Amino acid sequence: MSSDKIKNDDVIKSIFDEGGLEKPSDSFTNSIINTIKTQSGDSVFVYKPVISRSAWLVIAFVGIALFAYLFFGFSPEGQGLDLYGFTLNFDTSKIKGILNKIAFSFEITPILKTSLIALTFFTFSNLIIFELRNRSFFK
Amino acid sequence: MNYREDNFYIKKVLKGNLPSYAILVEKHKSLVYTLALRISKNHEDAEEIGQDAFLKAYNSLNTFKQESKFTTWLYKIVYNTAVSRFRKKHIESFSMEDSPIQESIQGEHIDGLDIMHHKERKKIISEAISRLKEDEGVVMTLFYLSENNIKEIEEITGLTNSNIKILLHRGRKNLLFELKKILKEEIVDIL
Repeated sequence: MSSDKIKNDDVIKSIFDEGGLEKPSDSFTNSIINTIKTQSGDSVFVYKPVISRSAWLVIAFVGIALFAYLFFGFSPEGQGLDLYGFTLNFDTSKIKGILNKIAFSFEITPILKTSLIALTFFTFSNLIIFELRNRSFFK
Repeated sequence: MNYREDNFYIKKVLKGNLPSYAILVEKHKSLVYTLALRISKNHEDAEEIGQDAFLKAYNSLNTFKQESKFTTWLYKIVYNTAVSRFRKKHIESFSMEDSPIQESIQGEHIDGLDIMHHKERKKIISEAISRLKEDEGVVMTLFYLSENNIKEIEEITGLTNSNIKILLHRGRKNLLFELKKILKEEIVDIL
């Protein structure tokens, strides 16, 4: 930038600093605030999830812990769930015990076991997808 | 009044604190109003545009991503509000070719201004700025008064980098030309 241009720029800047700023009427701000009050009942819409992020994390942790316990927990009966050649060591005695204590005699069939695993997997895969979406990874 | 960073007030407003928005309005109202006035050339319209822009900004504050400065985002709303209102009247008539650059007075000193009283000087400067074309006035105000850089002005107005530079160049020349003209008129009036 040439020295003439810099000098000229300084002159313009000082001109604007001195006389460039205009002021609105005294009621300018009040008018805006009053309009906001009447139009929206005092608040900006802010999205707040019903279940907070920390609550989701706790739920996910509990779910994963339960899932891991069911998979890797000790099975005295040695029962396994046969899934396409893989045998999952699914400790049904603990669930049976809990359910029997609560209400009635309960038999966990292989179909129910598969359904429980599928439901758990579906729930947590969705939780993870929702969480990633909220963090804008997919946007 | 000593203001804090814009983000401080924005966070409070998003939590439902309306008085914080009043502080934000107070902080930025003069520049918003000035910007609106550069386009509307009319105090009543500028006041309406300014208020309208602040209402729009409030209603969409939760969409402000803080990727740019709050003022850049706000001035963009002001500019768009003003332009959409006055598009037919003024902005469409603007063309890069229609304004011959006034003879160069670069480097010349505006002696008349030095000897004037502050109030009188301000009035003359204000009058000279108001005589600038709308886009020149907006770009000059953003560049010299709000101290936005060219990239930010691009974001606010949607004009290209070269257009902004041309408008700044023309604006500088025309402002000095208008000042000299007004000063001559004043002297003629006195005589």
